Amino acid sequence: MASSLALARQRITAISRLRRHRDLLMALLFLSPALTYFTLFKFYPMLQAALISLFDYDLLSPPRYVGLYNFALLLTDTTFHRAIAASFFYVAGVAIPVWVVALGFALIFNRPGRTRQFYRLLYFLPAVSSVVVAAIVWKFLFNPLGLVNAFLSSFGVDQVNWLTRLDTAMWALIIVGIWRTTPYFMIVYLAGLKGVPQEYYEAAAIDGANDWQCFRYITLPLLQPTIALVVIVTVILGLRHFINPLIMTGGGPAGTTRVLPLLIYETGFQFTRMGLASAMSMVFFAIVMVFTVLQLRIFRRIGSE
Amino acid sequence: MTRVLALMWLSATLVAGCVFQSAPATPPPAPAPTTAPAKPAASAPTVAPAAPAPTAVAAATAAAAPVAKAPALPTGPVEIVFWNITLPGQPEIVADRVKEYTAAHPNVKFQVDNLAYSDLETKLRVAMGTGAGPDLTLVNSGWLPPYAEKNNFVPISPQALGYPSLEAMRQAYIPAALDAVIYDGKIMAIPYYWNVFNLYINTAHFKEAGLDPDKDYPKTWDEVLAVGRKLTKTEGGKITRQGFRFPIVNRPNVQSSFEPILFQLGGSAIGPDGKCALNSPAGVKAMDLYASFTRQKVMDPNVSVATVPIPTLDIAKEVTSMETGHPLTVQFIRANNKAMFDSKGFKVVPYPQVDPSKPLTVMNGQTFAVNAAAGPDKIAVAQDFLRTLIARPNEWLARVGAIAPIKALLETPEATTFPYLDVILNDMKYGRHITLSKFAAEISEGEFRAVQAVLLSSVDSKRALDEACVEINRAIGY
Repeated sequence: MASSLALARQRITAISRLRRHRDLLMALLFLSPALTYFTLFKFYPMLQAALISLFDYDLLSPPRYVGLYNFALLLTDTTFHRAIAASFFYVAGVAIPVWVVALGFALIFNRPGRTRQFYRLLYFLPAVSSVVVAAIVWKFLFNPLGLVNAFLSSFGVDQVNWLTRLDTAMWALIIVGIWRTTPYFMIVYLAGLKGVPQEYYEAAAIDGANDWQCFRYITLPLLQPTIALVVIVTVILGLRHFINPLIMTGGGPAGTTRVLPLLIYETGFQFTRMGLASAMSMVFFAIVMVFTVLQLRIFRRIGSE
Repeated sequence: MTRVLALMWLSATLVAGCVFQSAPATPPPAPAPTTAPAKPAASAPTVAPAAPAPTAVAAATAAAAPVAKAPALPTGPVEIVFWNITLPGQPEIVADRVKEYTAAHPNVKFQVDNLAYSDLETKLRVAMGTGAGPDLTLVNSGWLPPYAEKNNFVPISPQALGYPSLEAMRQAYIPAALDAVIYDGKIMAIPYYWNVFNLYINTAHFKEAGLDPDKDYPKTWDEVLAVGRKLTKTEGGKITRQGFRFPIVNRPNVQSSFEPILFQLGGSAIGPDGKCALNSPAGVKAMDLYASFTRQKVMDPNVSVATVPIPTLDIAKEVTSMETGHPLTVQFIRANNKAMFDSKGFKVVPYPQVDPSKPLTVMNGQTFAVNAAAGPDKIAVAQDFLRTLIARPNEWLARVGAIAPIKALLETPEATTFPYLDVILNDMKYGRHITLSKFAAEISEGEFRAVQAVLLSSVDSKRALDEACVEINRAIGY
């Protein structure tokens, strides 16, 4: 009796192990197209870039091994340091408002109503417009004789040379960045809000909680994973962004809007110093990874508290 | 077990990726430069006469030196990949020349890619570096140094173009233009469209200000400032019409407007020690002179730097009274302001000078070059085709507005259709090429950022140039 029971148990274990392997194989099969794509077009180029960072390579001559020389150059390269500072300034300027404004719009559009649906669509349009076209249009809008100054002059504000003054060029880019990024994360927040059970709000209403209390004690805690996602992704996207500086200011005036991705692009494709550009991108990757890990830890700690 | 399986799968994919991807392609070793086969001298680029009687050039070339033997071109099928640009009129004339050549050589096919000029520099560099470069390509003369250093282009033999010798070719061309494409005594590319920078003035604005455009045009920079003040219009403290303007939209514009002043003051971008010399006393003086037009409210850099993609359009739009520019400005005026063109509402005058007794302006241009990695058959055909391509420069002038740096161009009937060609060709004699260096991109970028800092944000000239030199020296390796 005991031995037949043990045999049955063994058989069950073997069958479930087989099922797990089969499930794993099926999962790998379905994941293989995406994993192949990522391996070929993301991971492999990253490995190549890491390799090229150890070489001096100008595209026209064979690569020459220089070890960590390119990284050593970056330690004393003030242009590189300024580009990192510009990137962080841009991220802070775009990400922080987006965290708040996108949530605000999401809360507004979370309520039912046909009109709201129409406005939600309208507010989402910037996120789906072509980045390049939008940058060109904004460049015209920010022209000293453009619509932005025309609008401001109706309030008695003098003409502002948005894109050619050291103190305003980056702010112009930040405005465009907020305009473009907010709608996308509004949708992310909306998806998160849809996951908050309505019963909690109903129960809170019965207990006499007002809107702010509902938001503070129900919405925010339950939205935490979404907030974590938004914070991490906005920082990553902000650090990566370079189309607007490329088109609107070219990194100027006098290099004030030359963010790190733009510097990497210039170093690699205009000055054709591929090794140095790859070293910059490796450092950039490390910075983004550090920030991402830090943020994840912070949010995990908040979650556990 | 599951982890092992997953790891095995990932490794397999990685290996597959490595197999199908290629490592950074080391450029193939440059083949030994082939000497282009000699051609009969009678087929030198003659300027096609419009009148029945042959021009002086045709007569001179008809009585030319000994005829070399015709080359042995491949008889099998050859396909030439040719990178051209979308300059108005250029794709059409290239298509006609291709048709002309393939009619005489039916075994040859061309794949002509017409690219936007703004994309060409980077595309060409990447393509040449990865071994995917075209067989024949347009190349700006300023891009040549790194290619010349690595022998990426085939030296062009004067005989292939119908000249008995290099000296004969230098006699026919404006020497300074040809010298700009000669490296170690070899012609690395053939110039077909040469730019020299002159001063373009609006004659109506001059007359409006009580000035005679034929006599009162400025010859020195001090005169530019004085005349510019009379021509500038302001409204409510803002400049509504710039009396004079340097184009500062991008780094090529800045380089071609800043470097003439730098050279006129005896300065240079790179010093004899190989380091950046922009921040020398001559460089600082040049920057101060350059910035004086902004400081004295003759020029408003904020308006022009913001949106104009082609700065010389401002002359055509009559929002600027005087501007330095290259011959394409004439084409822009013809295309955008026919009334101004027809009524001679503009004038091209010699480039302003620091010292009129030592005239100097800058120039650069477009050339055609043959890829040394193209293979012997393609190289032979491409070099042979070059002679057809650049033949009849008067036709290039009429159809594209391309001024070939050939002395005899002025004698052609088409020359009369291009206003002020005599002034332009004359200034070419005093032309010096903008800084030729394999670090040209970094140098022009440094100049561009320095000019932006000084003109847009009133940064001190020395400080701006010092910062530019830090970046340039870093690129050079100091």
